[in-house]
Amino acid sequence: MGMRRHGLSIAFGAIFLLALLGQSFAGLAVFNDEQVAHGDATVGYVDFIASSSFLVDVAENWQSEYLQFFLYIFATIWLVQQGSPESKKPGEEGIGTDEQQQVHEFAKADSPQWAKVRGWRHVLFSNSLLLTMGVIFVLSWLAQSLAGVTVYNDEQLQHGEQTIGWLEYVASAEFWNRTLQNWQSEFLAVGSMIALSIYLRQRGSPESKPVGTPHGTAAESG
Amino acid sequence: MRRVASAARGSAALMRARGPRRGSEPHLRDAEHASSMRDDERGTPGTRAVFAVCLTVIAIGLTIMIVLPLVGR
Repeated sequence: MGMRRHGLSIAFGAIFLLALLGQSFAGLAVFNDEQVAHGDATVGYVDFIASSSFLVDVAENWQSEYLQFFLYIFATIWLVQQGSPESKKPGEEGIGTDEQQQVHEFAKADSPQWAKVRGWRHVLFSNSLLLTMGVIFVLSWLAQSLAGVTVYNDEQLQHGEQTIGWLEYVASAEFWNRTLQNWQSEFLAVGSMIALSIYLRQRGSPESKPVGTPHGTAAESG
Repeated sequence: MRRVASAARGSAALMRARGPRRGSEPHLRDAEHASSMRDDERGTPGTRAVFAVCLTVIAIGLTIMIVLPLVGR
């Protein structure tokens, strides 16, 4: 019963770890192939997963995923898409009234404490999901840049060329190529989800409208 | 219809005589439902663990990804 209640989190936690493990072994094989091609020594598994070469690949995907959710949460406050279950209904744009949000005098007895209070704790809690996604995005983008500049400079040295500093790297085509190739796919996926869910259904999924809901109707919740 | 209603009343009377069974009467089921809703809203130990594990994994991942490149890996 306990496991069933948390099946969604457990399932995604498990496939995250499996995918990361798979990425580490595939990445090691690619890295060592390149080392051999350059006439350099191959590395072991532990050395590889602690290397900037592996970490930059992990970080650049993390940052784009968290940016996706950050933008999605933010955009759905202010923008609507008629007929999409991912959106509020037209006319409901904005942060909602205290009554709708069940805060302050409209809080229920069981509401979180920081929904009842006023001041900085209330502002922080009211925006905690967006803020957390944003902080994780910024930190993983920073991680991508730190690991990325190390990898870039290693390659520069291998080719007998000059190394660059962090600021130069974050303004470089290499950094933005890694960044934008991830962003474009995230934006397309989110946009597709919003648009396709107007006319398509998945029976049983809360990500979809109920099968019989008219195409022009948005989700009841949101 | 009358017979059904009468049978229902008879059944309810029998139940009262035997004493209420847990969850067998609507108001008790409602009370149990409300209680379980309150548990969900408060957060059970399980939901707190899911939240804590998720944040911990992310924090460890970010720390590794920021610190190791800084120490020259």
